[in-house]
Amino acid sequence: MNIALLFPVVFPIIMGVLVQPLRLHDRKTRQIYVATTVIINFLVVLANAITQPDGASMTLLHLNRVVDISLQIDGMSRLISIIAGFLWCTAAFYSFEYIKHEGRDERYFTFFTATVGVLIGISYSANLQTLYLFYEMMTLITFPLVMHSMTEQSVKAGKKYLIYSFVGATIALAGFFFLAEFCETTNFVAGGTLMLDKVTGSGHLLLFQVMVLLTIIGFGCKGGMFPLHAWLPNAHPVAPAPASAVLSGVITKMGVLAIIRVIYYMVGVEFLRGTWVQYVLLSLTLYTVFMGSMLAFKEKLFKKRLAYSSVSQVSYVLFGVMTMHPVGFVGACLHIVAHATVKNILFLSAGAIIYRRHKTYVTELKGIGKEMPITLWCYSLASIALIGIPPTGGFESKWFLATGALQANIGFFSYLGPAVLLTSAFLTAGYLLPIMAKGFFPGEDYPYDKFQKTEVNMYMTVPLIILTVIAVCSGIFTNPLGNFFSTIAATIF
Amino acid sequence: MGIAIIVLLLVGAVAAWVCKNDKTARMIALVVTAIDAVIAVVMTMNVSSGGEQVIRFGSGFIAQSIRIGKIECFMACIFGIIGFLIVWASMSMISHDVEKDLIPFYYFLVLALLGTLNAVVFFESLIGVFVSIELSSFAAAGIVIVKNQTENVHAGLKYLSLSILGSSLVLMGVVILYVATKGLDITTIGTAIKAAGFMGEKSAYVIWAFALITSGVAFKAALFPCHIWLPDAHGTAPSPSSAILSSLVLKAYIVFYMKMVFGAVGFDIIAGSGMRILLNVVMVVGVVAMICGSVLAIMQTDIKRMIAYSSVAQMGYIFMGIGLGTEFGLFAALFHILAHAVTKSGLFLVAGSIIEQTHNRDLNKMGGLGKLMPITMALFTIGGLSMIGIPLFVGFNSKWNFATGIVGSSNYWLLIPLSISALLNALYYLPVVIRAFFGKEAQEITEPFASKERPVKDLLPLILLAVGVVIFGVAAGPVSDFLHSGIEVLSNIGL
Amino acid sequence: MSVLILIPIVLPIIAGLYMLKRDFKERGARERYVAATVIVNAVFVLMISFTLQGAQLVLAPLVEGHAVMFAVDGMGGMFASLVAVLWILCIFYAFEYMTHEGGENRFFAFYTMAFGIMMGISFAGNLITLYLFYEFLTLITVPLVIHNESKASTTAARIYLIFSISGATVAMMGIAIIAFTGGSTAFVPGGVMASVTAGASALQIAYVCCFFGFGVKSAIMPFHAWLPQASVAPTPVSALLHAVAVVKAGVFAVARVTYFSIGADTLRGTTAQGIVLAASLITILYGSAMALMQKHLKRRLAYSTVSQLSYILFGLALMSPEGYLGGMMHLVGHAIVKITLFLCAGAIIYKTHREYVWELRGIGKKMPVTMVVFTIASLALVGIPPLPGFFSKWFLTVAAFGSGSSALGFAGTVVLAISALLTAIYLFSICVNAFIPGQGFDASVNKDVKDPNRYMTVPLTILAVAIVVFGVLVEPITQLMAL
Repeated sequence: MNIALLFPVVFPIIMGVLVQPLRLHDRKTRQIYVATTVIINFLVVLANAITQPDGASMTLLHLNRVVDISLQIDGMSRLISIIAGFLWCTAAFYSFEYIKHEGRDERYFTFFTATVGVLIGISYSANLQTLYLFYEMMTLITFPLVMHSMTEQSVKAGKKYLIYSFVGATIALAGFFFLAEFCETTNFVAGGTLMLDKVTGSGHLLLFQVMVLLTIIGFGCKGGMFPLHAWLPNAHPVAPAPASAVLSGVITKMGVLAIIRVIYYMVGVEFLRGTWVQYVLLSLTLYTVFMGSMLAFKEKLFKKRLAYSSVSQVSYVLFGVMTMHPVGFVGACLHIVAHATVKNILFLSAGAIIYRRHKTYVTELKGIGKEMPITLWCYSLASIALIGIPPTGGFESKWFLATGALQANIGFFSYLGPAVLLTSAFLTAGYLLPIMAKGFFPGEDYPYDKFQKTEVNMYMTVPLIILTVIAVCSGIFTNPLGNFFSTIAATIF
Repeated sequence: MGIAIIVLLLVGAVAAWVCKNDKTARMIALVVTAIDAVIAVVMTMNVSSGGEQVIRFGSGFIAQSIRIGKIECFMACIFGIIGFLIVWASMSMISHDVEKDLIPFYYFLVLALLGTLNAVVFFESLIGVFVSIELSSFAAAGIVIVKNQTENVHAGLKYLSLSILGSSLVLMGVVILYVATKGLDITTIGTAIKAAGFMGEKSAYVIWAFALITSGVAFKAALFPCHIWLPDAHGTAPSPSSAILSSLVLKAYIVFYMKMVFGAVGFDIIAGSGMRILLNVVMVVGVVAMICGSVLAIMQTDIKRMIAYSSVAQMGYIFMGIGLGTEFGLFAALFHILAHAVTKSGLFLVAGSIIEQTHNRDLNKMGGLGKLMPITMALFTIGGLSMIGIPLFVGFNSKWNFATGIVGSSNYWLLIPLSISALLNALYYLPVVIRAFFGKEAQEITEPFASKERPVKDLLPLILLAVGVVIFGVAAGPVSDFLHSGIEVLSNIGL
Repeated sequence: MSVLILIPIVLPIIAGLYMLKRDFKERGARERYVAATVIVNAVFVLMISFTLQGAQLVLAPLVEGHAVMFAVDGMGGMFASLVAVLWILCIFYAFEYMTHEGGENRFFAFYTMAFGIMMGISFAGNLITLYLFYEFLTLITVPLVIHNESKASTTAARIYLIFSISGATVAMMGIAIIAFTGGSTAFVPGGVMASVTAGASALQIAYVCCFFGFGVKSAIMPFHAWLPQASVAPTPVSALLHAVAVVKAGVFAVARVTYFSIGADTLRGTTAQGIVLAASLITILYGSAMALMQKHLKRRLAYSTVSQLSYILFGLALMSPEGYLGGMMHLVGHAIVKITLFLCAGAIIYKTHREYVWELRGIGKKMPVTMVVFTIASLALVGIPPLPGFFSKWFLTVAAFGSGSSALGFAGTVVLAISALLTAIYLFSICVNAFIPGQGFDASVNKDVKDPNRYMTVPLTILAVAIVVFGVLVEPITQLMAL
């Protein structure tokens, strides 16, 4: 039994659950407690990622003779677990300050801390049932974060989140039963274990394809993929800003991870490549990319605009996944990293503005760069990264996505894809940059003589700065990351 | 030992009634059910190592036989252990619902009910089964009526009347089987049916007989749309009664049905005969029940009625499993009997605790209850999650089994209702949990320690049931093996 | 020796006629006189039934070739014994009950005479004799129905008279066809139509005529309307005549025609059988459903009788030995059970003057004997094993699938089940409400209610025991009754 794998899953959950019974009423103690937890957890995740060999695994339980709950480490697990572990540290520190303004701290930290354990669980899942277990747990454990403020709006959004998530998970589970029947094992094996003979032999090829499609759409719910995207613009903005940040930055990636697991580790690309399923999926992702950007462009509520942006950006990743080409896949992985960090920055800076200035609409943000320069600088750099201006991480990922699409044998989509991505990049610029422009150059009627510097404190600025540095540098030092992703791609193609 | 259980329970029942003292009656009930549980477990261990035996006695019309096989022992364990836990839980709850001088009578009914349920399962001779079914109907209606409210009397009467209809239909079916096979016990009937390759020209008789038995069992086990008595009966009964009714009583009739269909007819004949059509109907109706039961549950505002409608949906699962007509379908149905018994008894007892402590049955007024009764609501959450089918809880294993059974028998379309039903379960269990833990009322509580929690010693049986939900959720292997071997024995009856 | 058959027929008639003339003033004397007559007569009946099997007695020929004759066989003896035993119980019950109705002298005179007529029907040796006493029975029971001389009872008696006489006339036509076609009206097991082609249309018409004609007395749809009306009669009349003697005389006559005159083999599978099966199944459902809707206790029981009688007719109309057995089992079982229910209802009316079911809430605690007996009888009628109703259902279903099963037989199984449901509802609702009135019930309404005295409780208890014994001893009884 490989306890090291179990530790980062169970430890935060236990620590989170203990927040309330331990009665950590004192803010300082609680902060130390949470900080220690997430940092230790990140270190263990890191250690696991570095020291554990590929395929290191442990079986936790045998639910019955067939179904077991097991953990395992491979390339994708390393990637996602490190992202989750790290972003949780930054978000935690940011929360220490931010949550003062929301209240109900203990409840917040209970669920916030426990969530990271569940996320590590998803990334470490060795088979589909384990993934499903943690996936459902993730839904249940994060919706209190969504409805944290307990306003009518947030409760409604929380319920919508819950219903959509369950619909998605249920559809996915229905498909899962097919996969369990027609794959050699429910374990994730690079390249997939589909028994093609059995599928064709059973005469249910079309049905199986439909079920695979449904599984992907079901898991796509968490990633905000059309047609199960509608919860996301409601749920992400109402949560406290650090929760929005991790919801958008990390939790959407769990949907992506699940889809990658299904396509590359169960069914195998050979089965899907060139079929109508792939084209449907490509269309869905491209449509989502475009639709998300358009809606973000039109949206005036700051956090909601960012949420629509997430809808669009996560589908960049999914588009890369659906190209079913190594280069596209590498692009997708790169974009996972880029979007995770960038979206965190964006939400955290939006949160900082709300925290200090109580401004929620983009029209109110004139001159904010004068008042909160660090925050807006971070925001601006992150925007640039998301638009994909070199040398940021966003540029690299889009480059790979576009070249992947062109190289992949997906006919018409080879050209449509890059075109949509490009259009969307323009729209991204269109909805992110005006805030920067107005923030730094508020125009003549701005009371230059009266404004006060109202920058947030270290708890919030330090995480922002760290993340911004990463977002920018990840573009400069793409090679190690790209190589790492290429090795993953090599195993699954 | 099967007879020992039945006799023990019936004697205990009379003793509880005769003693006329509510305290003594409680103790008798507790001790008797505890002994019952122990015997059942010992018997199961014997059977799993030794194999089954059939005991015969009497002659003619009175000739009876008892089969002590794996499936029977499995059920005896459920009756014994869960019955014991419910009786234990009822110790502290029952005085809330039942008048003091009726308590001895109440425990008489409960023990008599458990005794007759065991008899329904153990008897192999159909006259014995039928008499037990009838007696259990009366005892079951009795534990609804004993609350002595007008609504209970009405619900109990409705229950009793439809039970009588159900058992009459079963009787008709049994008589026809008797006419066709000259057999009055499952083995003889099984031999006759299997030997002649499904009875030759008399196969129409057998199908008609099973159609009648099916519709009778549908009433007894509340298969939609024959469930109309269930929400009233389970919803108004004292909570321990509701727990017994939904987790144990419904199941006895289903096991009888399984023994008839898969013991007397068998998988091989089912696959290639008119029985397949009948089972298809059962399957489709089961699917309808899964969906409609859940939809009706969503519409309820009374917590116990909601849980009762949930039972309707769960019965649909079981019938769907039976309707698959394969070994794995039967296994899934049997496993779900366990899953539902453990989960639903816990849920009803939790609901009873809530009603007892807050005098409120309205789901819309349960906001913030999680703060007042954290353990109770945690138990409810476990039950709800199990019902939805979240892994680590027994409900997931059930769902998995059904799905495997469905895919294995190539009825792929059934996965859709299975998935939808799970989702619908979420739609009525989760809002309760959400409201309880994040409800508005929670903020309005000013006193820091306004706990309405019942003492832990009273909650212990409920906690043990929840532990059961988790244990069978994470380690169902041994039970599954036991059931698989039991099914194998069952399908060989009469050969 | 065969002349002895006349005694049980003539003795009560003479005794009754004497009573009309003598007019007892004192209750004790009258009771001794009536009790002595009935008991002595019952002893004769039992003796004759069990010792004179096969005896025949031919009186004067009525029309050419068709004499008035008596004979003792298994079925007649069984029916006579049943009626005789129940008569004794009812007489004692009536002694007490009639104090509340008045006019005892006339009542007991006709009540006793009816006993003799019933014996005439039981021991009738051919269709002509049966018909003769059948008409007598109608006439002799009219004064009993009309007893309290109210408007309702006069109407009821008139309807009863019209229905019965018309029915008998129709039956007469059937008998005439039988006599013309088969040449004999005698009762021979298996029928007398051996020389006639099976299923001949004349015989079919004759059978349908007889079935519905005699069926009027056993309240077959659509000729049932008189029976619920007649429930205005004093309870001993409702109990003995309208649950057992009169109505079962109709059933008895149908059984005679079916199995002893025309013959089951001749009729099996014909359209006539289809018609009568359908009619009986419809009546079963209709009676139960109507019973459910009645709020008046005795009317509810009367409709229940309508339904239950058709169980017997259903069995008889199956035209097989099993069907005959099922029908006869239910004839006896229902007789005991329904008389018990009526006597319980009478006890309630006698003590409380309550006639409607909603007035019976909480009465079980005050009249425990009555209501416990009522409950046992209810369980038996619904068919809870091991009480008689269960075995009736068992045998009837076996018969429905036994020989020459038809679609109507299949349907019959479902009808029986549904009827059991309805029966359960209309009886158990009374029992449950009586014992468990529910909270908020004002117990003071039942303050003065208590069980009746021994004249009533003893017969009730004996009947309750008889119900249980009948169920337990079902095996020997079936052997006794088999064709």
